[in-house]
Parts: sequence; structure tokens; C-alpha cells
Amino acid sequence: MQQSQHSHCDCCTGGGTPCARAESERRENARLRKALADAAAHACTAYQDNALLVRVLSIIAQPSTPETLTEEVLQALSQLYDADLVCIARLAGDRLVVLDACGLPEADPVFTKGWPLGPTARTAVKGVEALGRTYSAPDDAGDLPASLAGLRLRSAAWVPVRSDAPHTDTLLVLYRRSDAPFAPTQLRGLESVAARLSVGLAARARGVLAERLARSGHRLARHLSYPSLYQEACALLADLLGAAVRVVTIDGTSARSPWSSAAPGQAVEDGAGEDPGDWPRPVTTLPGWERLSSGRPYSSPGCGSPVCGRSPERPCAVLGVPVMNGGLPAVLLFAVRETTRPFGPGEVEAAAMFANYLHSAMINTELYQALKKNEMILKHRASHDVLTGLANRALVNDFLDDALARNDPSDVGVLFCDLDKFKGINDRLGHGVGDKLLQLVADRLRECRGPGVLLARLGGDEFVFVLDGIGGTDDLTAFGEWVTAVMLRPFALRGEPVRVSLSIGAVSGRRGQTTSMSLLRDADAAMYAAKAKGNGLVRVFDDEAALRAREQLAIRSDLRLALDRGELVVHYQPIFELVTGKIVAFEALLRWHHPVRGVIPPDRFIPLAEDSGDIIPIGSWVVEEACRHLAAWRRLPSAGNLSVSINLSPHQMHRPALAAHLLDLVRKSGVEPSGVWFEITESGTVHGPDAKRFLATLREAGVHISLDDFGTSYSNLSHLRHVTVERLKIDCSFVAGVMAEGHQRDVDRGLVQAILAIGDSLGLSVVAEGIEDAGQRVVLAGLGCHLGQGFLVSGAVPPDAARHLLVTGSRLPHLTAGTEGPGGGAETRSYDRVVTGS
Amino acid sequence: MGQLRTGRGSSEHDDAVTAGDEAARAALDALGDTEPALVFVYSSVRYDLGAVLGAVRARTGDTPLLGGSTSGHFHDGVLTAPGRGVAVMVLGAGPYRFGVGSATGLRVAPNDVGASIVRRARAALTEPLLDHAALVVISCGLTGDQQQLISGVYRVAGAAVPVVGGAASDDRHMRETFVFHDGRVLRDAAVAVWVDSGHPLAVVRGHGWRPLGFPLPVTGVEGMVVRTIDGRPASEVFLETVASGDRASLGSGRTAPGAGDEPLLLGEAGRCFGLIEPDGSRRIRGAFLGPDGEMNTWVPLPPYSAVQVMSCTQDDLLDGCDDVPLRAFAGRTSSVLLAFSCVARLRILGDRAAEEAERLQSAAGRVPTFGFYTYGEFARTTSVDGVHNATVTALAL
Repeated sequence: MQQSQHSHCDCCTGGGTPCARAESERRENARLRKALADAAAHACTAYQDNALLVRVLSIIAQPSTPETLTEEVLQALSQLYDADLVCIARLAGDRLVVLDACGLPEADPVFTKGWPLGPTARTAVKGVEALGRTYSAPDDAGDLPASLAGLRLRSAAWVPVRSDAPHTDTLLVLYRRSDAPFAPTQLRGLESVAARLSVGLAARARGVLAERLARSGHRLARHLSYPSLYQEACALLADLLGAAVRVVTIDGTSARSPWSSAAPGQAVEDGAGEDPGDWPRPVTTLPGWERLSSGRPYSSPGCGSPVCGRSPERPCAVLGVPVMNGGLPAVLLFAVRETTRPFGPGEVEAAAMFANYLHSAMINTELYQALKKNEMILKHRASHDVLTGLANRALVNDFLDDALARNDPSDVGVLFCDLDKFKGINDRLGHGVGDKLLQLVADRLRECRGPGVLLARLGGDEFVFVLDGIGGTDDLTAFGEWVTAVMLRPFALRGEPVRVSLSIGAVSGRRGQTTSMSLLRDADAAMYAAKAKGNGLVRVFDDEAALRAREQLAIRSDLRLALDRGELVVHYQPIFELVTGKIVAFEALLRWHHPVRGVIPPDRFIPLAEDSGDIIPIGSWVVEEACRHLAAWRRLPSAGNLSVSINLSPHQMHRPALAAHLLDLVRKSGVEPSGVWFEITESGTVHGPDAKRFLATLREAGVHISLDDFGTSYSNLSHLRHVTVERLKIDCSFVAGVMAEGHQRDVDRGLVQAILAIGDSLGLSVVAEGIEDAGQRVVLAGLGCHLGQGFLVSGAVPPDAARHLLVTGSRLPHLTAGTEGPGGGAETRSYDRVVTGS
Repeated sequence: MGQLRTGRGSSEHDDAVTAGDEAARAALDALGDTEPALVFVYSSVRYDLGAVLGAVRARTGDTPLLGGSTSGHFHDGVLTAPGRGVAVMVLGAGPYRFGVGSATGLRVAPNDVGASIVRRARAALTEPLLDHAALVVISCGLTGDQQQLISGVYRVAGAAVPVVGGAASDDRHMRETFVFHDGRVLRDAAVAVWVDSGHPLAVVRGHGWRPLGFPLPVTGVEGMVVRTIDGRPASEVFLETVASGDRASLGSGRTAPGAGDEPLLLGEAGRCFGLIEPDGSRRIRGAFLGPDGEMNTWVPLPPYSAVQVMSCTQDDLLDGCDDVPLRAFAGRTSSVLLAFSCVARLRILGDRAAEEAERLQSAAGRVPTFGFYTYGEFARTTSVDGVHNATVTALAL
């Protein structure tokens, strides 16, 4: 519109008065100009109002965070309404605090402390309409923050931001320095903007919550114990909702709350509104219990309950969501925020989703705990003895391995304990009672446990102590004596006091220089050494003793295989008539040819066989062998009445049923039982009922019983009375004495005479053992002894040599009265004690 | 705390060091015995800018310094044409306190850069804040969203602190611009001085542009590209409005878009958009037509805002800045007028380019003027908006 206001019409000359037509055109032109300007102004206003809504809607439609949305909307409002300051403020008590602003300096106190609620704001929060207001300068209404006085604000719009609550506590406020009031159409537009902003923010908040939930919810699943799960749940939900959170666990009618978390950015208030006596408390006193117990969330203003953790006079909002299990609430999640505005639907929804996450995590935790418990049970079973609950061998090995691997100057001790006479108790009273006794012993030994001490049962009646950290063998001795001392108190078994003792072997080992296997092996050996000395004793092995014991154990171990490997053989020593020299019988004597150690004497391996029980199969085998040879020899000329003597162990006699088995073996060999003599030794064991039944069975079948080593033990006469014996064997020590010098000769000859007299009086035959020279033969024959055995004729020889002796005869001259013979070889008595009792 | 004293000097010497030295020496000489408190440096990009600053700092020492590259500058009514020289102004403190801060990263985070330069400038003040303040902001002109920069400034400074300044330019090469902070030449950056004052400071603007035709809604906009106006292609509406107005040519011999590979700068042809503000005034938004016919603006037009096509003559522009000094003085006795004008105005004024500086100085009377030609002028007074085109903005101290 660049038309000149002073243009002239064609009919006018320059400088003259314009004609009427020209004047009319100018007026029309001016009118049109004004009309155009007015139209433009109206268009501007219309566009501006439209632009506001369209622009805000377009901003809300863009994907953004709540923070960005707020910032962009506030900036748009600032631009579109020419507002110097736009802010969103929230009611906090009786003050308004700015949450977001466009135009406020960032450090302004209204962000933190706010300003007193003025009359216009007070009206605005109660209604739904935007209020416009102009102010004189300074503020004559008390509406504006004092810190903004310098801006000389003159006009404002107060716009309630509607929410789901009946009353809003949030206002959108626009300020201008100009005194142009906000027009009604602008206020309506602002109401619309506030509503859409509220919806947009709520949607974004929900989106943010959902995103944060998706990001953080799975973190619950990593927890495998309830305390850490609940603690993390507190922290996550507090972060999610921006609120303080408390986890309440429900147990029947009682509620407990050991877990809570402050709102993000807030320190835990020291006991603010919290009393340790608040928990546990009845579930019915929890806020919203009625809704929560039926599985529904609860959202309300705070009630001053301990759940809120705040004093009643401080306003707060509380949200509760249940975690249901089997239709009942197992856990309640309470979120508390310092505001009267209740939690919004989006927050309730997010909390409910969070509760679902927690429920899943709780199931995981429960399953894991059950699995862990099961694994612990399995692990305990794998490492503990079922009967006594003590550690087992596997755990002992592990414990020892760990202890020996540690770098420490102290030593590691092992005490191997074996119940004395437990087999007897088991056999006599049954395994049930035996097991009960083992449990009682275990309980008693537990008294000796302490730090660094492991007590275990390896099996049977074997217990072990491992002492992790001892100074030396003195410590072992002292500990062993303590253990034997506690065992002195009797055990109540079937209501009867029973006394049992432990044989204890102990060794110590240096860390890094020995192994668990060596220690256990040596302690076991020491225990056998202790047991060999008697019951209830402690034997501590040093290195040398341990070495010897290890050899014993090796022999014991090899002996178990010796029979199968054919390393055992039976040798035979002839028993002959003293006068004629005729061989009338052989005594079967066991020999062991060890492939490495050579010949092992019987007095070394027989006790081991008796301890291990191997004596039973070995003894049966000896019977079988001896009878087989006897049957063969009896077919030789003039050997039809030959008999064989076989030594019996007391361990065999404790098994009455074994007698029948031995008789079977005898009969199967084709030998009459009467051709077999079983030699027993003097000891208390033969008085037991089992031994009596054993011997009676044999006697009834025709087998003969001979009493070996007569005169060397106690109560020998008593034996003769109780045991059906048909022969006595005079110990070689007496035989050796008959040819001694001086008084000893007289004593020994007197004893031999006495034994012969006993035999004669009881109708028993007598065999003199250990006859080594012709002089002894002559003297014994002279004293009236009819049978003898010794190197004078032969030592124990292999079966073929024995057969040869039978064929060739003893080659002794027939005695006549006064005959003196040459000296014989040396056959130690102990070598001949084969298959014999201890 | 007396009257503010300033000293101004300029040089068009070909050597950077000599130019910087001459301009600084002249400014210091003019300042006399007054202790320098702040230094402004405006320079053509034809120089080694580091060398220019080094020479200036050799004279001004550690006195806080800010400035930028320009497309011509002026002081005391005299224009230094684009690509020619260096201008230096040295200020004593007078009644003011100055704090300078800068930040880089304008392209990626203009809002944060805006916030940072305010915080840093305010933190550079060694004394408690006075009751009033203004900010002079100079930014790199070819990077970042300048309105977001001003929004960031506004976020921290608030409504009480008016903002003036401009986007640095580069002798119209449109390649790269620079800002200066103390001895540093910064890229992708902005620099600001917090002017702390005991009295209110007024930021003003004037342009002289006039509307053509009716206000129309911006119905389609994507960033700097205006797709549709009133539901029709923006370039079509623009050209139609121009044709129905004064029928003037768009100039430069090119009357239609897409006639070559170069964009058609509508501002230089005396055409632009006027963004209608709530008070009915028009905020100038420069525009250009791309080779593909797309309508572009230098600053984004808000969607669904009302715009008018604007037009001007050389006289319109010169008339438009006549009242700027007086409004800036706001009835106070002032010592200097800091002015920022648009490089497009210089182009439109053509042979009369020097007249704007003369008219400003003439209107300012005995108060010296000091300014440069920018790629965008800053004047934030009410609301968050603060970026203008083809406009003169000013602050009087």
C-alpha cells in the first residue's frame, strides 16, 4: 500500500485545490485503508488464539520427556502471550512452590521456598476457571512473590491445572510487565492449554513410569534372598514414584516392616514419626487394609499411621499395593509422599505392575530358597553321617586337606577312636542297640568339640577328631585323655548303665608335608597299637612308631589277599611216641610266604587276622587242608590211625555255628572226626557260653580237644573241670627245664611230674612240647610221659616232607630204661602256635 | 563510581597485528587515564584473528575481552565496510560491573550453552550483584539454533535481565564465524558479558519494515523450512503477495526461484516475513528461496503463527533506526550506544550503506555508537523471544 497520500487526479493541476472527485477518492481510499487495517488486526487476533492451541497441541503431540514438554509449552506461552514470566506452581501447605518456569532466574527462592498463597491463587486452586488479574505497582493484592517485585509485574493469569483429584494443587501462572489484562478468550485458551498439558504430562509420566519400570523391574529377579529382594524393591519403587517406600510383610494377622526407603534425594529422617514399637502391628490397623486384603490398590491422603512414618500434622499422600499369594496378601508396598495430592492413576497402575514384578521375584526367591535348602540337605548328607549327624569321611578329608594346605606354624592332629568291645555289644544286644550306643557316644564326644576341632564318624565304631592347630604331641595326649575321661561316665542303654571305652590312636602332621590320607592311616595304626595294649588307652605315635604301624597295616592289608594268592601253606610237625619213636600224629602249623617280605612268623600275622576277622576263612582253610593231607597219609602203610592236631582261635570259638561248618569240612575230606584234635589255649574265653557250645558240638561229633601250653596260664585246673579235654600239652619251657642244672631242674621236673599226674588221674593223654634232644626224651619218658613233639624228630615241615617222615619213620632208637640220647634242634614254641587263640 | 568512559579505535591495516595494535592503541588513547574494565573487539575474518587478539591484549592486558567476527562494523557514525578492518572499544567500569563468560558446543546444545555463558559471566563478577543487569551476547552465527541459545540465557537469567547482541558474521562469506573471549578465538561458541547495574537497562529494537497484504497462518513448517502458508506452498504465497503489493522486482535480476544454484536472499531484495507478535508488532524473519524453490528462514517460524510478508525501501530502513538511540537512552544520560545491525540491511542499503551508521550516530547525538553487522540480532525484552533479523537492536550504557 505504497500509495501517496498527496497524489492528484488527472484534472487537477499541481498546487491547486483538489477537485471534489479527487477528494471523494481520497476519503474512499482512507476508509478502505482503515477497513484493511481493522481486518488485519482481527485476523492477527484470530490467528493468535488459534495459534496458541494448535501450537501447544503440536508440541504435546511430539514425543518428548515430561521435562521437555513442560519447557517447550512454557516457552510457547511466553512467546504467544508476550508473558515475561510463565511458571507452574504447586501448593505446599499454605505456599506456592514453582516446579517449572520460563523467565525466572534459576536461583530464585520461589523454586525452593515458594511464596505465600495469595487471594487469587487461593481462589484459583478451588475452582476450575482461569482468573485474570491486573495489579498496581507494587502488587496491591498480595498475589506475587516478593522476589519478583523488581519486575514490576502488572498483569497475571492464574490457571488451575486440572487433575483427577477433586481440587487441584497446581497452577499455571503467566505474568506480564505490561498492564494489558488477559482477555477472556485468552483465559479460556489457557484453561484448554492447562488441561491438555496436564493430560500430556500424565501420559508422559505414565510412559516414563512404564519405561523405568521396564528398565528396573527385572532387577528384582536377580535377588535370591528375601531381605535383599525387599530392600531393592523399596529403593526401586521409591525411585519410580519419587516417594518414600515401605515393605510390609503379612504373617496371618500380624504385619512387620523391617524394610523402608526414603524418597529419592531425601535423607532418611531420623525416626521422624517412627517408633520401634510400631512393628509388628495388627494388619487391621494398616491404612486401606480392607481394600488391600482383597487385592486392590489403595490411594489416599496420609493418615498419620506408622506406615506413613510421619507425624499426623504433616500432610502426605499414601499409596498401597498388595502382592497376593494364594488369594491373600503376602506383602504390601506402601509409598508415601509429602503432599495432600493423592497418587495419580498412572502411579497406582505402575505400582501395581511393580507389585507383579515383585511377586514373580518372590516366587523365584522361594524356589531358589527351596532348592538351596535341598542342596544344603544333600550336601550335608554327602558330608555327614546319617546315624550320628557327625561329619563323615569325605568331610574329614576335605577338612584335613584345607587345614594342611594352610600356611600356619601350628600342626594338625588326628585322633582315631575305636570303641572297645563294640562287636560284642552288637552281637549280644543287636544292631539296634549298637546304633543307639553309637549315637550316645557321638553325643558324648561332642562335649570335646571346640574351635578348630572336627568330630567325625568314619563308620562302624570308628570316630575321629581332627585338631586344626596344635603345638605338638603333648596336646594330642592331653586331648586324648580328655576324651577317655568323658567316656568314663556310663551310658544309659535300655535303662541300664553301660560302660564303654575308646582306644585312641593319635598322630600329628606338619602342614604342607603330609596328607590327609597319611594322617588317618597313621592314626588308625596308632589306635591298633593302643588297643593291643588294652582297652581305654591313648597311644600317640611319633614318626618311627607310625612307620612301624604302617607296616603292620600293610601286612594286615596283604593278609586279606594272601589266601587267594596262595601265599599261605600248612606245615606239619610230628607228634611221636617217646619210647618207640613212632609218629602217631601231626600238628598243623600255618606259614605265610609273603612275596616281598619273605616268611612272616605266625605270631605277627595271626593277631592281625584275628582283629580283622580274617581268621575265620583262614581257619576253615587250615582245617580243610589238614584233613585233606591226613586222609591221604592214612592210606600209607601203618598210618591208618594217624591223627592231626589243629589249633583253634578263641575268635572261632565265639561263633558256635562255625563248629558245624568245620565238622562238615572234616567229613568232606573223608576223615572221621575222631582223627582230628583241636588244640585250644588256656584263657578266659573258653568259659563263655559260645565257646562251650562250640566245643560241645565238636566233642559230640567225636572230635578230640587238646589243651595247649598247659601250666603257663592261670586257673588251668578250672579249665579241666569245665572243658571236655582229652589231652594236655606241656609247654616247652617246662620241657627245657628238665635238663637244666641245679634247683631249676628239680622245679621243672616236679612240675612236669605234677602235670603228668593230673593227666593220669583224669585219664588224659599228655604231650611234651619242645623236645630238642635225646636227654629230654629219656627224662620225660622216664617221668611217664608217652608222647612228645619237637626238633628231636622234626620241626614243622611241608606236606611232602611230612609224608616222607611217615614213610621213613622218625629214625629214633627204641628206648629202654636209662637210655640217654643226643641233643636236638631248636624249635621255638611260638613258631608252632598256629591257628591258636591269643 | 563516576560516569562511564569509553575509548574506541579502528584500523584497516592489512597486517593483523598492526591492525589490532592500532585499533587498541587508539581506543586506549581515547580512554585516557581511566582504568579499562572491558574490551570489545570486532574484526573482519580477513585477518588472522588470533594475531589480532594478541595485539589487542598486548595493549589491554588482562582486561576482560569479548567480541566476534563481523561483516562490517561501525563506531562514532563511521562504517568499516565488510572485509576491511578491526574495531576496538575499551570501557572503564563507570557505574557498571562486567563479567565475561563463554562456552562451546552451540551446534549440539544451544540451550545449555546459553545457560552456561550466563552462569560463567555472572560468576566472573567479583562483587555482590546490583539490582539490575543486562546481558550482551555474541554467538557464532552459522551454528546452532540462536533462539534456543537465548532460551538458555533466559532460563538462567530470568525475565528481569534484558539481552542484546548479535550473531557473529564473516564478511558475508557464509563459511565460518568466530567469537572472542579474552585472548581466545572460539568456534561453535557464544560469549556474554553480564553488565551489572544500579539502574534498569533498556534493550530496544527497530527495523522500518512494512507489511504487505493480510496476515496469514504458517500451516506447515519443518525447522527452518516453511512448507505451507495458509495451506498453500509458502514460496507461491510469498511471490503472489509480493506481486500484488508494490509490484517491485525481487531484485538481483532474479524474479523466480530456482533460476540458479545460489539461494535467492529475499532480505537483500527487500522482502522478508514479519512474525506478528502479541502486541501487534512484527518481528522480522529473514528468508531465502533455495535452488529447489523451498522457502527457508534463518530462524524457525513457530507453527501456526501469524505472519505477513514484509517489504522495505532503503529509506524505510534508515527511518526505522532513527528512534532507536533515544528509546535506548530511556531518558538517562548515557555514555555509549551498543548497536547491532543486520548484514541484510547493509546489502539492501547498497550504496547508502554508510548512512545507517551516520543516522544512528546522528540520532544518538554526543553519545558515541559502537556496533557490527550480524547474522542475527538479539533483543530479548519481554517473553523468551529474542532473535531478530534485518533489525537494529541496541543497549545504552
